[in-house]
Amino acid sequence: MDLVLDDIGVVYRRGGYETRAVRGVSLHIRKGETLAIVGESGSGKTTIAKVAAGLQKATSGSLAWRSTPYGAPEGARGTGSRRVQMVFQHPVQSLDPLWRIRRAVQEPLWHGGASRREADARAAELITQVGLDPSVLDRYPRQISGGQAQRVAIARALIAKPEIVILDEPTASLDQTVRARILTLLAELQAGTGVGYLMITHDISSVRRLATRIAVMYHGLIVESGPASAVLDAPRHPYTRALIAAVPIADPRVPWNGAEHVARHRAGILAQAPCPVESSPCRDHGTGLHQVGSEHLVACTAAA
Amino acid sequence: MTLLSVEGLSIRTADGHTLVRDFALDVNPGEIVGIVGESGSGKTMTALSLLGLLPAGVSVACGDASLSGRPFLRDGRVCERPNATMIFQNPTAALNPTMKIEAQLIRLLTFLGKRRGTGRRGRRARAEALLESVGIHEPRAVLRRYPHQLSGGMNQRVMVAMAVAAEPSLLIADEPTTGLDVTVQAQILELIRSTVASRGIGVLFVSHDMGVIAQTCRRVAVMYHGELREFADVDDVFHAPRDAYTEELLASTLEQPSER
Repeated sequence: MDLVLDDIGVVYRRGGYETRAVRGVSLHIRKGETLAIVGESGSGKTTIAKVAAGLQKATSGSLAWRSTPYGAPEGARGTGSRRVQMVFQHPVQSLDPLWRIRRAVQEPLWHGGASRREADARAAELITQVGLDPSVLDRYPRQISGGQAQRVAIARALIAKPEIVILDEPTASLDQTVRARILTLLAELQAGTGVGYLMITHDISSVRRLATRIAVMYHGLIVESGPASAVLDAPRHPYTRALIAAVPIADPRVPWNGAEHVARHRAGILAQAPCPVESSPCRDHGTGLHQVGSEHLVACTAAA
Repeated sequence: MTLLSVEGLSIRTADGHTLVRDFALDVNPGEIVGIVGESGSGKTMTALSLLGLLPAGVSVACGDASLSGRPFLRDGRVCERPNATMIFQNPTAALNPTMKIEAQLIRLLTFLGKRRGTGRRGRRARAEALLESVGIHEPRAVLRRYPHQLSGGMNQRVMVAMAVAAEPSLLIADEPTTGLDVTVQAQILELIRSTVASRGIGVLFVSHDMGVIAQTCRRVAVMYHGELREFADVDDVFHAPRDAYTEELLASTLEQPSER
């Protein structure tokens, strides 16, 4: 348990309205593994990523790095934050357009007091590790492609030797062939450095090759979590099932009717009582998670 | 008879770059034909060119196209407005943010009524019926809203309603589900399929997603760097690809979860 989020709640207040974006989420990430948080827009997954990165205060709950609290709720960035780095969804926009790639990649080292020579050597090493030519270091963000920019962002995230990297939709804005290469690169870097990933994605089909564990979020709650194979191959929560069934199968010979599945699972959610998401006791308070297998938890009393 | 026929289409920029080279494709009535490719492949430019919607500085250099046997593009020049409509990737941005859905639909129906003679009184009822036909269960509530008050999926349903209101024979859909949640995407794809089945129109469906293409289209054109690499039945493209790029695209398609 390297990074632990305990009972995190986030409430956004705007114009007299309160939105409970995250409602009592607990999770942990170990070095060397990948926890994928899967959810649709509005599920609270990006808010969780920001809290874990120390970019956003939690309204309630606590964060700890190896039992040392940091971050929320005071927002003080302590020992944990240097060990946690982040890669954002839009790679080109996440780089300063006025900075050469070299400066962007080296920036995390400045806070550690590295010499210029060390920083140069390390930047060249990292840029090669992510599969780019060192000449890229002399270019500006607008002079490189989206796939190259995401490799740069990964190099930048890894240069200060973090223990956890948060990947917020790291491949969502990339082409399919580039996406596959970036996922392969992330897996290789993890094998080489032992870094842990917290990966945020809306695309459950993209997590199979990288995720060790999966947590499925819906309306600010974790509704199912467990080993990737258990969640993908034997999903228990009606929402997880709908999410998986809704992905179009890339084979015209395999019949698929995603809309029917989604409708059926939604009907299933409504029919099961007490239900964690659609019936009012669950929607308002949650039911807690029930164990259905080794480390496999489901917030659904009907499924448990 | 072939519904849409495109031949020898080339698209160039004002400074001489060729974006699409010698593209050809055909769509039959009641058929969904896909164009798949990555960003920069020219698939969206191809779709836009058929409706004369190319951005400034980009134009059709040559090519012929006809709809229901009537030529509308002759040697690179638009000679007639084809009876086709289009839906786009970001439905919320495609709608007018300052107008309620009702006002936008009524305005469209008024415009169409000039040609078709629909009475003013009938337009509100027609607007409601249109929204119902695209699977919106509470059309009155939706009519009262602004686009920003509706979800992306709901706005795309409204876009489909507006697109079919003109009773086109061809619908061009440019990445209509990109950016939508996967559960919403499944519902919009089903809406497009059922619209094709009930109205017998043809659809040109632009997408970068091989899963969406496999499950939605009967035939697909694979584009790469402005070139048509392959145009065949989806079954052939997915199981017997003839082009090296198609093979790479298939190989990069991420593994699917096995549980259905």
